[in-house]
Amino acid sequence: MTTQNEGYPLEQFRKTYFEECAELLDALQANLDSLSNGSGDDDTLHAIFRSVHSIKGGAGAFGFDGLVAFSHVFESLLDAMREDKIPATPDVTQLLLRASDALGDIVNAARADRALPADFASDIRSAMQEVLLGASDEADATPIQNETVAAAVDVSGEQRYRIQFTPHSEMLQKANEPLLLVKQLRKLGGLTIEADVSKLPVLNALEPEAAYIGWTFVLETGAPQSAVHEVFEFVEDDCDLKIEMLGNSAGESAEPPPSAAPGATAAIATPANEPAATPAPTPTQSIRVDVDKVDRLVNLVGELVITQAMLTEQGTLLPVDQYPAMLHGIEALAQSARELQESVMAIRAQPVKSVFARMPRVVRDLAATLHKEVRIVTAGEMTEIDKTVIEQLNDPLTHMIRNALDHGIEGPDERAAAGKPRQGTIHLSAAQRSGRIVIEVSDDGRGLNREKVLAKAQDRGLVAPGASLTDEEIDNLIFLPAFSTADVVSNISGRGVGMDVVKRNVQALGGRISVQSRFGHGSKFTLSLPLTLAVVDGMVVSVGKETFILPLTAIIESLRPQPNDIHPVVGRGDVLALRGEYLPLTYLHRCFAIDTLVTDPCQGIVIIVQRDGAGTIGIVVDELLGQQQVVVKSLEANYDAVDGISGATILGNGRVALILDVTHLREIDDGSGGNLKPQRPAQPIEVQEDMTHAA
Amino acid sequence: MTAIAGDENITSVSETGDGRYSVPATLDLTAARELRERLVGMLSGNSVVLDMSAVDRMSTPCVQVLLAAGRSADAAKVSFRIVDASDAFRAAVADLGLETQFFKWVS
Repeated sequence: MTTQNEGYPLEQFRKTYFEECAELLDALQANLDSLSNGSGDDDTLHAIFRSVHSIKGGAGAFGFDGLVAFSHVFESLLDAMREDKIPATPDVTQLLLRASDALGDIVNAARADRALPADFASDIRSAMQEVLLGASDEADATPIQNETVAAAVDVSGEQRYRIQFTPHSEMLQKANEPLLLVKQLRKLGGLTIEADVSKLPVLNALEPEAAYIGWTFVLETGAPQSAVHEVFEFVEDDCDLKIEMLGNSAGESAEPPPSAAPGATAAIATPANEPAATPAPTPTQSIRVDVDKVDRLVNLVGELVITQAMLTEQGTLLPVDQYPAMLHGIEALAQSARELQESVMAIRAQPVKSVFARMPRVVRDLAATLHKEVRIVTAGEMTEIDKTVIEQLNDPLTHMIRNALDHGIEGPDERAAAGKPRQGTIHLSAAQRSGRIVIEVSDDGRGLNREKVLAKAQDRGLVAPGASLTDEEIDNLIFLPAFSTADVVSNISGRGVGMDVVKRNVQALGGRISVQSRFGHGSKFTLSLPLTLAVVDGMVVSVGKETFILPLTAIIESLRPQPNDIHPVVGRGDVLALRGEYLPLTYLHRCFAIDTLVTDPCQGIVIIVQRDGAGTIGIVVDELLGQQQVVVKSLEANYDAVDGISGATILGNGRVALILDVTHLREIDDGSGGNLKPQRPAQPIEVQEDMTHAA
Repeated sequence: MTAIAGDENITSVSETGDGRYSVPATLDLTAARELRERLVGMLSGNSVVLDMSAVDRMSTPCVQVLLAAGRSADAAKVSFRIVDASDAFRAAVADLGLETQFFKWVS
């Protein structure tokens, strides 16, 4: 959608800035994870610094003061770490991770124009300042030849500098602390300080967070002038600063500032009027394209595919011997259209990394709340999947991870008693398999207690007493609505709204979810999702005068049953006996109240479909019309949500066909027609024109 | 980790009839507003005694508030004393070059 403000360059810059922020935060998270698990190196720290520095630079340009203030302290801490003044101890690394999480929240709040509480993340900021102050209080115990520190003790050729430092009124609000600057100056050499308090008002008129005092420092140091400048690097935009040499000029050292990272931009505060450029670690040929433009392209390609399908259909009516070139052209067009579609889909494809990268935080936060020790190991983050799927993947994944932590992973003592490592592990992986993406979330926790699950289900009337269920069926009970095995209702889970919601979300994406578990050893949840939601391979079926699409991925087989294969079951409708199994039959004409002459399955066709996590059923239709790749159009966006229908498409003959949601068909097979009106929306032409929004 | 100054710290202070105030441990940026409000209230009395023994974190905004309070007290002829000044407080005052200004109030 084009926003109203999009025409304004500033709005465009702002949008770009937040897009960059998202990338920078992802990179920050990934590098911090490397740092915390010990696989990082010096470059990792530099990359972390650059991410925070770039976020801060842009934030200053747009006046996000809270973001500038927080990222400045964060950056100062990272800078001190780069200079080996602060070691990357586990505590410090944990603090950095918390800071990164908070930074993400502040960015998101700025993006949404949402005000955060004044003391938001102040504990983290204070903790970072404490670490910084602690480091600056310590003696130069670092054996590493740090250039700045070395300069401080190099008394040959000492130089005197007068530094006039007058903070702007808002400098302190951005968490810039002159005390830290003084400590850094003291490290460089002898310092005399003179304060100018002439602007300090009376207490009643004083704004507590405004800066009123200015300072004149005289510094005697052997360090180069660049080192003096560097002390004020992060406050240059927020103060009036004048650094002048007194006495004999010793000549400025030409050495680069010690904190300049290889490949980093020069360590000069970014001017407030231009956002900091994102340093690219590896030069990749890429351009940034607005997602809306790509979506429009996808829609256009969708229309092209529909037109091509129509041409192909018309082509079948032409005599081959009279129009060979035309038919050849139509074939070539079909081939090109498919390739074009795949190429456009590839543009929208993104690595699942963007979703996976958020999960370590979920684990950290929840593990701390539950007092559990848990680590998360991810694999296959670069697996690509359509953007729309990625956007909707976050909630189900988060829920599953939370579920694994809350229900699966035991407390450290319980794990130790069971002979397991105190720290539990959650594995999160993604891979492409046969045109779908498979995401697995596994934990090494306690697994599902089938006895407990079954007992709970029987208590709640979800399973008839004495019913015999397979292990798989028992495991899948956890996906039933209002099912929960949590002994205690917590704010995390245990309210019975859990895996059923996950399942519904996954199904809404055209996916399936299943669980495998070994009691005492852990559980594995497997999500299988389509790579894209914009195109599906479907089976075109007819019922009466209507045409429907059944997603091919759900179909197991189709057959015309014999009369003795059909058995009525009281209260459950008809079942089909198939190779020793009894499958419930769903009559499509009854689901949508369609007039048809084919009401006997033996006259029509039964299509056996796999419903996600809910077994198989047979769907009775009049006949199969063929297989076709269809472009999915959102029904909700163009008409309204309809039970049992997941979307719509336009067929080659120009007619709208509805795409069936096989999982929910059974629920509406009561002859009422669900909530679909017996007559389709009365303006098919308009529908066709309006349907320009791919799902 | 040091506790963050907040309502829970501010409200735990003892304030006796002679306007004595046990200043909380953390005087960071977020504590400045609270400190200012309290001192404004205390300046309406006859004397202000600030017990700085617990202070272990100082910030420039809080130093500014204390300095403005002292100067306002002097102007209003209200006795203003800082007692049991902690090392953290003394160090901050020294680092900001304000020892001369605070000298007369610190005892």
